[in-house]
Amino acid sequence: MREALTAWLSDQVGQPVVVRDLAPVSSVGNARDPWSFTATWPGHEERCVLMVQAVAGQLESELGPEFHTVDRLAGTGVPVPGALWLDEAGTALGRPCFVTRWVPGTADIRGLRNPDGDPALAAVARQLAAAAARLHAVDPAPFDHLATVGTADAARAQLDEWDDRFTRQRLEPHPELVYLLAWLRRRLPVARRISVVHGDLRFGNLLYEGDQLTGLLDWEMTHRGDPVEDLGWVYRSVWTAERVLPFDDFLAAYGAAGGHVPDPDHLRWYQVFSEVKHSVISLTGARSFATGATANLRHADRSATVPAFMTRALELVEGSC
Amino acid sequence: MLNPSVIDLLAGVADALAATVADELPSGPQRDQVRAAVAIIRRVARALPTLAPALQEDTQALAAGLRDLAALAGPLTGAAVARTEVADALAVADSLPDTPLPSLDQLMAANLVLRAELAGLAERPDLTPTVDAALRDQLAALASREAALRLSPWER
Repeated sequence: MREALTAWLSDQVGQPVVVRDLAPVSSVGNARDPWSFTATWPGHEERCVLMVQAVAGQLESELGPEFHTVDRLAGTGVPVPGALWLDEAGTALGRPCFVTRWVPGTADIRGLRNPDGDPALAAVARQLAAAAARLHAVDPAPFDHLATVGTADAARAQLDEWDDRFTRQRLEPHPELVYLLAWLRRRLPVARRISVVHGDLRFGNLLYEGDQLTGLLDWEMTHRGDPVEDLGWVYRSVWTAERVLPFDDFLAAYGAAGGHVPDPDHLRWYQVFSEVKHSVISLTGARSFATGATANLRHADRSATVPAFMTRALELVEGSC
Repeated sequence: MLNPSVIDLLAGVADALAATVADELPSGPQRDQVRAAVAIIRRVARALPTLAPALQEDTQALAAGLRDLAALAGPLTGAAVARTEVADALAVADSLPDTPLPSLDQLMAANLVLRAELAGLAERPDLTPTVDAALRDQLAALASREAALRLSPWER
């Protein structure tokens, strides 16, 4: 790995590069195999993160859109790691990969469960809301590596994509998911505007130091779409920051930073969609392990997460009837 | 041989792997793998005593729920599975809890047929509000029965 990485980076830089302190980084998501290292070449030293596409896992996604999105967000005020090099074909390391600058901070979310709250994480949550508003205000036109959608078909495009994945990935009928997909299809919302959507915006996918948000990570599900999608995802119960900053306050911070706060029905559609989407991600991980495509044990029993997501989604649906 | 029980055996294996392997490994993917294995073994050991009765109860509840829905919605379409398969699966459900019990494989096969039938109803576009509400109740109950096994890796 080190030799191949050294050769590739030397080719990219045009000078001999030395790679040191190369080490794998623990990852919960596992769509990418992350590594940290330091690269030095004459006059330069750069602490970096290498993201290698996982052989198989919980997510079907390409590296290119993630890298190009992060690259084009530079200078927009959205806190992203600096994009450095991309090998989309996987010729350098045998699998597609890209390198970004290292960003200081931790992704630890244990403080979110503190029943007494956490003022530092509350500040980070407000900054997350502001970062989301900035992201959603960015002109999506230059992001031409992402599929084009209109305001009328943004929700349908996402629903079609995840419905298709569900059909391909499930190992059994899952009538609850079939029902919810049909429910969503009968109530497609129209987006107020099209934005760059993160697609996995939440605590756990951001870095912070003390009370400062330092970077938004894990852009593998980014796309052009309805910004409300990120709001329907960001406070799901699995990673909610409700104890440190109530969701209403998060939405108020989003609005104060220029974001448009959606009406409850519009938001609820994306909250139900989010439960379905995460269920399909879990089923994808379960299939990857069941078929031997991955040996990562984090995926082995992921389908057991689905009942809780379905319960939440059906509660949301019940509340709308 | 009854002792150590399968449950005790699994719990012991998990404890031993945690103490002698996971705790000795440096942070990284190898330790993550062992920790995930330990957590899975513990959850399975915890759920094992209830798995077979839960599958029986679930199969019976699905059969009863489908009959209730058919009474409201008229004959179900059978779009997802053949009529004979559904009839056979209902027969398996009706045979519970008589002896001899079907094998676990037979029970799972019947259960999946009933779930497929429920999924066929769930995507019908012509559901009345009454049927829709009854169906939603059935699905919520199904999700609740599955969650009660506490097999989720995020179970606390």
